[in-house]
Amino acid sequence: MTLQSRNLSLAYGKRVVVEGLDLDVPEGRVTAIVGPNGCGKSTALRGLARLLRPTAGQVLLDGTDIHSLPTRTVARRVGLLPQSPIVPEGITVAELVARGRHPHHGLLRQWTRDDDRIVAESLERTHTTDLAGRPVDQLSGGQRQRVWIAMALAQRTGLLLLDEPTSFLDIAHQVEVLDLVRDLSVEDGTTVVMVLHDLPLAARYADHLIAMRDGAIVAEGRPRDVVTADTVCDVFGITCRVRWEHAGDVSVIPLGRHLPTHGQESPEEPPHARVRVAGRP
Amino acid sequence: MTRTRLPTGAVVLLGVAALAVAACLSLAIGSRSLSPGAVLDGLTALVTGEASGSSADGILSARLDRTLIGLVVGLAVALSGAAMQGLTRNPLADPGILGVNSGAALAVVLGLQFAGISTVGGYLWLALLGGLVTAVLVYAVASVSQGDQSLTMVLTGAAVTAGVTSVIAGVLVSNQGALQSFRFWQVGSVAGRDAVIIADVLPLLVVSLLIVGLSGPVLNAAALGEDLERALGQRVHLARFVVAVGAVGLAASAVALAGPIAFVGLVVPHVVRLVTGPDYRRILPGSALVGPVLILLTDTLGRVVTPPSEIQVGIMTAVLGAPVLILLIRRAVLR
Repeated sequence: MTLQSRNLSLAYGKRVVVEGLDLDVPEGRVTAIVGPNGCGKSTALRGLARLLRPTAGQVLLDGTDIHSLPTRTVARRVGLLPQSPIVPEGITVAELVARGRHPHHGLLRQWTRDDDRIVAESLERTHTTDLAGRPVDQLSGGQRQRVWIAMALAQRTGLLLLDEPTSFLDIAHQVEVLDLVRDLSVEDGTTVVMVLHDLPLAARYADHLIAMRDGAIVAEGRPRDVVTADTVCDVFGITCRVRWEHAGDVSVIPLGRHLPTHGQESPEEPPHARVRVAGRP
Repeated sequence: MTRTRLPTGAVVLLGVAALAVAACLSLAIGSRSLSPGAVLDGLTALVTGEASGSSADGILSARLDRTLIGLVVGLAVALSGAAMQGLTRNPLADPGILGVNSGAALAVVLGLQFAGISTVGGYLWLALLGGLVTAVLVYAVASVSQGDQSLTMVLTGAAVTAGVTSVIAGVLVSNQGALQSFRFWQVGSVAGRDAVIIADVLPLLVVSLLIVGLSGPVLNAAALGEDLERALGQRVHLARFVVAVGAVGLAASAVALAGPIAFVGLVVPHVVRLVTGPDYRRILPGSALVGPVLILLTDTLGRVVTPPSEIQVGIMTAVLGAPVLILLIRRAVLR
């Protein structure tokens, strides 16, 4: 399954947010879109999920314009986890995950044993089987995100679009969610596109990075090629020090006004300025 | 803490049992109460067509009309409320609170006064038109205004209702003859009407019932927010429009039969949800059963609280429903 955009422009009213975006999502890989607030990364994802109608250009799903396909057909191929989905009051984990089967049902096609099996598998895949009977509003942030991903999995699409799946989560829960995303890609061959805030985390968990600024792609490619001091400066407008280590870990150390500048290595680096992530890649 | 739910079969069985009890009470109790035996005898006589000629027959036949109308009205109003709460994702939505009932009533009263329309079949289309116009108006005002949409919708509905009710009162007062017979357009009532009028609303009722009855999956997807609704393959605007027409159709049918009845559409889905959980495929049938129970019980209560006179069911449901509305608003605002 391929997802591409060609010369895609997206706007809210008259405010153009994304302009002339050409993008090819690598199949079976994890792609992360990064960039500063308001750079259009979430808007681009919403465009790919056909939540927004382009003002120009196209989104192509398997070569066909996504807006010319029946919405149900798209829903069977592309799953989405929006930034702030609504949890119906009192709903349990199993009930929420079951709603992912919606695109596979119709007036005549009702719930079957197959649906039960797929819901059970989705719970298992996201390690939420034990939570099945619990009300979603009582779960931790990390558990809740895994449950939403389980719902998207129950939709049985080969492609998942995740809009900031780790925002509002502490670092342990972020790693919990991203480990799961990585599992889905490596073990099941699921294609994942996610918008992430955290650059080192994105570099660690994605196969393919897309850096955006002002509604356009500034750099894309392997994380090692994209995350450089020059690109970070270009994209976020900050000076920073980038260190790649042998295992593929990256440290991005922002150098603000109160930190030593390039070439003037201070004897002690302030501990809070050092961002490192050690998770299971 | 795991949550288990009552199986759907048990929910339906409970609802049917409650409905049977409520219907029996509605037939037996009133200014002159009938014993269960007399009710049964009277019913058999009606079915076999062998009237015994006793005064109990006349009472029973009037109460049967009243019970049938109460049943249909309760079903329509409660289902309409459940669908509106699902469509607007607003726990305070209901055909009364959103102003749909009063809009429908106004259209009927205007038709009565200025076009001389006086059949239930005529009321029905006026009620549907008035209800639709009000629904669109309230929804539009809430969509364009800033701030909490749930509350804006409720406040707009309340404003519309206040304005419309005073116009209705004005029209009826200027027409003394109509005032007596059409007082129920201000506050709903199921009394003093022949059950035959149900036949007039039947086509619209059945179509609306089918639409809303089958809308469970649509409302379930809508509950997750518009983005996910679309991501799950729902054609958001089309699906919502169709279900909204069904919901207004049900409300209009109820208004044509009994005038505006408040709070039943609001309260019933919340009570049902306590048992069924948030699945609209269960909430809708549950509401269809509990709505008539609530109407029949409050109507029966209204016959006995102030003897020898009766209190209209629309007043009874308002008296009982107002505290529930306050409770719900407190919960919605505090959350």
